Amino acid sequence: MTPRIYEGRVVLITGGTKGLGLGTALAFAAHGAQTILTCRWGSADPDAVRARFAELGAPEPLILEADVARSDDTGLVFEAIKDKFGRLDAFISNASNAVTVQSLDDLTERAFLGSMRASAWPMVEYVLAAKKHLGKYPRHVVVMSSDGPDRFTPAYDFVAASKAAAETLMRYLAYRLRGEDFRINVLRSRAIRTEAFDATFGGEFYDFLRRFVPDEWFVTVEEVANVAFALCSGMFDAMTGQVLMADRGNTFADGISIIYENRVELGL
Amino acid sequence: MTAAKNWNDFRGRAVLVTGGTKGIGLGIGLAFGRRGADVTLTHKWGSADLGAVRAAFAEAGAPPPAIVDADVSQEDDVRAVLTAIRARHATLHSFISNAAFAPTVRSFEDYTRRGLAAAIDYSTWPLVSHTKAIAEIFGAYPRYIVALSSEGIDTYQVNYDIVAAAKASLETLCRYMNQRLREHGTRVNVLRTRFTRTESMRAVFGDEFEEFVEKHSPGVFTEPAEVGEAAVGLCCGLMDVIGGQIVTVDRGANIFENFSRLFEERARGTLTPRAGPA
Repeated sequence: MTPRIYEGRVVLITGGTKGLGLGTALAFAAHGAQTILTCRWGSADPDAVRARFAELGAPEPLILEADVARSDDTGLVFEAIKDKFGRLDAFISNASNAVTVQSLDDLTERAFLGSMRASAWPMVEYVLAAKKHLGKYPRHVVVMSSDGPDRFTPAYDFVAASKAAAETLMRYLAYRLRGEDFRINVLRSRAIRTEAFDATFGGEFYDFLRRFVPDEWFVTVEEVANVAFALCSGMFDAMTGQVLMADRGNTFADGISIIYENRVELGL
Repeated sequence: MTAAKNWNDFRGRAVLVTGGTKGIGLGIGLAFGRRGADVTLTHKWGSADLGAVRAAFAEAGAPPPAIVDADVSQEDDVRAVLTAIRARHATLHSFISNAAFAPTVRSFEDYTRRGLAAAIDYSTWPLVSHTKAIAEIFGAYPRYIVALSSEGIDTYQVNYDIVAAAKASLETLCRYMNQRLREHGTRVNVLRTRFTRTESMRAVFGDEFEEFVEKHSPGVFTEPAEVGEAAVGLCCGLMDVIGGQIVTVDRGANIFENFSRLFEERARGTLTPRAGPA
């Protein structure tokens, strides 16, 4: 049996209607949580999403259309949470919308600032809004990120820059709110095959990688979602301000060395 | 969907914690025991009160632990510990490499090759020697391996030179072992802490350290029970995609335990040296 340790608790997941956001919401819901999922206008089929929760026998999620880059929307989200539930126990900052960069021509100030607004700032704005509207901070915050800040990823210039900013602000929030019943951590993942993966990199990148690594190398939504849940489960309550990578160790072993090691099997 | 349904239930699972009768090791043993695990604790030095250890398990509602006198650096001891577990269990679920010993360094003159070799023997190599012996005796690697490490590798800690060197090499081997053992379904991770109120901390940093830190830089101690919970977290099935990672559980002290923080909070007024260095 899945222990229903989140029964009666409320969890907000931005971008919670698909991909990693939806998977994370389902992990919480399976443990009894009331989830609130935000999505951008017209980007989700609410009935299909609700059906996923019903299959688990989990509480029906509240689905709200809200753009994380719009402060007005943030206010509406927290007013809705206040009216319906009056509390927020965990917040998963997942939605992110940075401009992808294909060439130097795409490096514009406007794209940079827009990416920062939509990918770095929402985490801070939502944490502050929780205090403003609900009177207290969530006990647990998990911010989704990737290995982009440290290592090259195609088209990722602004995504990586905004994630780096989010990670740094996460550390400072951990310091500033250390006197509260509050912990915040970044969960990095990479190579999860979601719609966002193919949208950012194109399907070709997957096919390229598959020539070198087995399908099990790719990380699944469920696996990363379980880590997000574990960070909010109580088992990691002494962990705050940290960056945790969920990648099976793939980043460590990413490079020409591992290809060289396997060159015979790969026919190289 | 959502795998790991019974993640909080360790009944019937064998867990080995080296250096498990005190401090962080005991905190970890209790966290597993509380969830029903059959826990084996090894100990060697010092005089752990074994009655108190058993009482703590009973109080936690945990099955009685097996407590074994064994030296982590001695092959025969390691094999005897594992053979005893093998008599009760077909597999070892989780191996927690916690025991460590290294000479304390008070000045550069205290650096000796022998001291570093001893630190490697007692604090680094047991991770490898136990893992090899587990594979031999059980015919399989444990599903989860967690090695305990600490701050002091990236930032200076008083008297910590040789311990830190051994821990750095432990962390590196964890990353490589994760890569080598992943095809066997084994995850190897490091759990790092900073300051935990234990005998080991007092032995390395001195008896006055705890009070001094509490007075001048409060809020940076982590409890053994908190580290124990995190160790269970890494072995419970929810975090199977975490491999080869350094997981820091220290209440965020690695972010803010510095001069800047002391300056920011100087209004507390405890830090008033008579004068700066000449």
